[in-house]
Amino acid sequence: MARILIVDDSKTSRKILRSVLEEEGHEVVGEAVNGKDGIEKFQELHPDITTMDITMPVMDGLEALKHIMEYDNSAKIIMVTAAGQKTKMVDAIKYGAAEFLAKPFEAAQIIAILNKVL
Amino acid sequence: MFGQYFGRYLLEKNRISQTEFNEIIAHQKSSPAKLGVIAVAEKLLTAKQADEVNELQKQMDLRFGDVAIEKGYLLSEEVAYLLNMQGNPYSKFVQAITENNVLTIEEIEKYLEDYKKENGFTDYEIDALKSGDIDRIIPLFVKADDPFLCDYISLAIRNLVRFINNEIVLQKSYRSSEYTFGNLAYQHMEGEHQIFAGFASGDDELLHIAEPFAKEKFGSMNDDAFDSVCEFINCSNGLFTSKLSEEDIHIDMAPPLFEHNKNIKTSGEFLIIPVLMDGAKVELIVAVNSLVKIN
Repeated sequence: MARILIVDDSKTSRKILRSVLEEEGHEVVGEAVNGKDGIEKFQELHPDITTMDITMPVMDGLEALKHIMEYDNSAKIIMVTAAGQKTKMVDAIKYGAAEFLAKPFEAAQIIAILNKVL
Repeated sequence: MFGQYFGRYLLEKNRISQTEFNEIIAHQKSSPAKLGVIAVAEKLLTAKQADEVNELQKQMDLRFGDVAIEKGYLLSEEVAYLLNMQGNPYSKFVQAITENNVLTIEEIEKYLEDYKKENGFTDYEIDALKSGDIDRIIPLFVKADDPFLCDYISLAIRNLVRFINNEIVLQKSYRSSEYTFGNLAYQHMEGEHQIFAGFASGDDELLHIAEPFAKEKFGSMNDDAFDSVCEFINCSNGLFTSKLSEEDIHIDMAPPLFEHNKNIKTSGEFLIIPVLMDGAKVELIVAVNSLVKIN
């Protein structure tokens, strides 16, 4: 079982992710609504895994990934993206992303990626 | 899908009642079309021959096609063609409407001819509607010259069919530089092209996107319902920008937003595509490479 932080500005996406993760027996320790909020919750909660949306207001997921990896370079962060744009994915890999999860979500895909990172 | 288009036409023309329309749509979802009905609709058998084969089939415990071949009414190639047609939306519609004793095949053909004339459809276009193939149906209703805009709209409509409702009905697109809405969820995309794209409705019709996408009942267009429509737009646009990035065209998406009871204006033109979902109208609004302001 993993302790997971969900960072996504969409409540719909957070709900879908939470439901799949909890059904698999994982614990969702917190939710954040933008990159800045995500950094604060990460430092407060120290999750095993963080799912990080890319397109968010205030601070996007790439910026938040960079800050979190500077704070803790062992952090396991799965980037969640509706836009599988090559340049963003290359940047995310450069900053230390563990994996990518494509929107819209499918339960089997979420579990497969999570198991790969654990 | 054909039943949604032609069935709605029959409903508007008072050829069928709302109850009959609902029964036809439910019937065609539940049962595959029978070979005899398709054979008559395709004019390969007369209604009398089809009845005769049906009766013989019951006595002989043989398949409809085998009996028809045995009687010399059909060739094996024609049976293969009919079997191929069995999953066709038009065949299902004809069966649903005749088995419910709403119209005869002759009446369907007459009204289909009227529908074709009134909408200015060619035989090829009617065949596209009968096929239920969304890629062939989109160009009948969406008139866009710009290939980039065409690609965007085709993908957005296919995503509606894929993620929201596979029985959507498109209406003819139109253009305007201004648009007034009750509810609007939208997203700006910027990069090598500027795209504005949103779904709007006069009232709570956007629930027909929000509820199936979130798999949740909202009841009214509250913030959670808007969040769901915004996320659908975000996912749909993500698939589009991913496709573009494969061609080395880079476009960034801004976070999606929503607004109530306002007006949007563009320095160019909006292409607006009305879409019916279970009878409720929402509109897909797209502007490419022009400034869009919300007032």
